[in-house]
Amino acid sequence: MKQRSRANALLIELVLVIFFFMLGSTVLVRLFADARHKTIQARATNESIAVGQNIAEELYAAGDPEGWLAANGFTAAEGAENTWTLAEKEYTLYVTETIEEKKGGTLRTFTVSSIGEGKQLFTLPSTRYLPKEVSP
Amino acid sequence: MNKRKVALGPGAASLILIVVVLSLAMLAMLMQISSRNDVSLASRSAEMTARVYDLNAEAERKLAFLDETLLECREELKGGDMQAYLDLLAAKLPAGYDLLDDEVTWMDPLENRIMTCTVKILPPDEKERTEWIAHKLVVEEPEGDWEW
Repeated sequence: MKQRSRANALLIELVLVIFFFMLGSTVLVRLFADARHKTIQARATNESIAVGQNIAEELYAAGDPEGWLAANGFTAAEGAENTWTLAEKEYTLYVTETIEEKKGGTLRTFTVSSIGEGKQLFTLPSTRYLPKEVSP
Repeated sequence: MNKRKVALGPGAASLILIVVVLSLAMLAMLMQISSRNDVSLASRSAEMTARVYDLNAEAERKLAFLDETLLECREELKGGDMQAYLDLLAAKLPAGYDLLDDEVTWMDPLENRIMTCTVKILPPDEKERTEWIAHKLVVEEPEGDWEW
């Protein structure tokens, strides 16, 4: 009789332990998933900023920026003029060209931006002034 | 043959549960702290990089403005000598540009950094008007910042 009641108590304890373990693990799994999500976001930001800087520098120096963009996998964005996109695994890069005509030359700006999971990660303007040669 | 009986006494399962859940909670907390730091470091790095690029863009815009001013000076002088050209430029340059001899310098601060740009003004009889001398970002570390 005593042994039976002890077995029952153990069984109830096990049921309670399993219940609390499930409860705890639900919260903990959420925390782990959130931490993993944040780590992926940080990795995407770090990777895209390195790639974005490289693109900004290349475009600053490029003689034929459109050719460079095409050679590096960028495609013209639909519905947006002078915009190119490149989709990577965790983020998408956008490059937009704006030209400002000045009296003495042209101010060419390539805006390199990155979007990861619907969030803007950064925007880098790569501006270069290209002076016109004017005869004295 | 002696059979060893392994008995799970009352409270042992609860004890194991407490240890396991506490360990997992500790691990989750450490992962959260680490990932939060990663995110804040990455976004801070992205922000600083973007601000440096903004400074570079501003430097190019200022160069474009200087170039326009030089064109105006050339049009007004129609040739002329270098000294008259520089005098007219000095009169036309707004605050923020420093003309010293034949070099123009401007600076843009960013927290503890300063973007310093210097261009050389070429004589008015040349096709090109300016030549980059310096375009650098100087970091001013506070004194004793690295002392332990």
